[in-house]
Amino acid sequence: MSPTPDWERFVRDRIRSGSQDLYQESLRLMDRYLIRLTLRVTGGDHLRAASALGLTPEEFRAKLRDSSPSGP
Amino acid sequence: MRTLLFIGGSTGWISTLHAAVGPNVVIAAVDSIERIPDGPEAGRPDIVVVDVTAWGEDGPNAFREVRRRGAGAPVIVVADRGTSELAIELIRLGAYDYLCGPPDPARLRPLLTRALEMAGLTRDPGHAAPVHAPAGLFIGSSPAMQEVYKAIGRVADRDVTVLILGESGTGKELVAQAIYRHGCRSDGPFLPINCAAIPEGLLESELFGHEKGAFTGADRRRVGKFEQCRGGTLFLDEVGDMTPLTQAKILRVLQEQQFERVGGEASLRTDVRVIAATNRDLHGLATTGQFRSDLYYRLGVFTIHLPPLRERHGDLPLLVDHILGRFDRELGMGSRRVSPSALGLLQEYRWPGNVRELQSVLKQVTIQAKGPVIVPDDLPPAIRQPGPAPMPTGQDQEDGSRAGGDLGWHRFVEDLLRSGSRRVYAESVVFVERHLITLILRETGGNQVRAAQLLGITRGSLRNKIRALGIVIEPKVRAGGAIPPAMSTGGRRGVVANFFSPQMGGGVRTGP
Repeated sequence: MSPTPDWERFVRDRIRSGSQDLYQESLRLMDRYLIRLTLRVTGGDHLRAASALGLTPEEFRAKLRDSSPSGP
Repeated sequence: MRTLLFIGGSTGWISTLHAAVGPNVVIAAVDSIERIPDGPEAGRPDIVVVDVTAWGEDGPNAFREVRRRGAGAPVIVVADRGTSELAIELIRLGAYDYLCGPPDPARLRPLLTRALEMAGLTRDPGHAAPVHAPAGLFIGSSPAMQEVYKAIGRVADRDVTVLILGESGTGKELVAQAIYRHGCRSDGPFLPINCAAIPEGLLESELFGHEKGAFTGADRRRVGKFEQCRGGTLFLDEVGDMTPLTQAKILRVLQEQQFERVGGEASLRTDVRVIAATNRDLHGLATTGQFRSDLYYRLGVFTIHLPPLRERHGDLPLLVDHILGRFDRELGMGSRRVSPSALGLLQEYRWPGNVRELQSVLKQVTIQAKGPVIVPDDLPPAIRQPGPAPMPTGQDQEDGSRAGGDLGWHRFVEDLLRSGSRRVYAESVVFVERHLITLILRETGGNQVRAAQLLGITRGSLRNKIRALGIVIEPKVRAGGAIPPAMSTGGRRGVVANFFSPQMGGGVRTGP
């Protein structure tokens, strides 16, 4: 996964696939990249990452869980 | 003159085909597979359409025979009634497309047009395309494209891995399809998979499959692409975006021809030809350690470089002619041509989005133009502007990661993080909202009802966001008047989205 999402391509691909939920989908995509990027900058420190993002540690953990690899 | 071979007994389909393809395609019809002209003197059809409504158990074998006798022409499967099992199997066996339902020229037409273009493309990759050749994205006889055609011809029937490099919009998947159709595995399936579009956690299971119980939610065994594609060609698009773990697994498949399903113990043998593609600088990524260099060398056994449109000297007028001709047929808006001065502007523009961008610009212009001749005034401001064209996508080539349409998000967030901000999340949401809404409004030509639908939010909510984010839908500025500086202003003050709105004749701008 590249360090940054290709927003234009994402939007184009999702429109082509008939998505009617691009707002939420985009925020979810952003979450994935944002969490990763923040952790990289904070050297993997979850608490510092949460604080930089302006999220509570609980909110941060939830986003981390939602954006990490799981099952289909 | 092109030929279409129809196999089936229904006269309904034959008359529908006539209506769909028009007078320039000859339709030959036979009522059974045995009657398909065979042998070297038989002459090859450009496309084959086969009615499988009455087919039974032996469908797959019958289909193989159709493909064999069709001598490599794309085969379109039609059926009056749904036979999804057979349809899936036939697509797997390499059917070009499948259409189910009563004969309907409107549904057949786009499919046949595409297949005919494909046939034109794959039949004669080594020959220069004449001006009105019915090929798809590969119109053009520039030296750069000649090299691509020759490379496809050289590598197609050698069973080696191919790496296709090219900017986005240059037609990498089309090259992969051409290699497939000419290759020794053209009887097998062709499966494309976009490594960047599938969430990281799902990609592995998508590629290799998983066993029941491999992870939460894996309630049954799943067969992955490598297994599904046995005997065929797997097209891995955007390979530059694979995680290190997936890279390691792909490397192993390529080296040892085996893999395991996720959560599985048994090693499975694979028999797949891999064609990979990316718009990123894979060599650079390998040098800096972001991409495994052993995998890079393994993938790059044979590399095809697809030239960007701006380097395909002389191809642009042919492409414009071809694309306008196609829109004329598809949209039925009457034929348009481009005035010499407008063509000059099109040739000066840098086309960061390549042929795909050219198509979308011409489509907007076709819908919008008032007369049969497209004049400079009809073109989007970015193309009308003299000098080096600003790129609305903010393509920032100093860092490969930004070459694709990232819109500057990465740098924006990184700067915020380094500045010690404590509300990066909220800022990032605003950034994404602003650009997302601008992109969507651009896509819908300023139509807010449609934009709200695509976004999945209410119209009122969209209106509020547009106001809060300072997005301006501005009236079109006629040539002769002041042209707004349609370029990225960078930073957090917002970006002028540079486009042309067909419905409103205006532009959408995100202001500060």
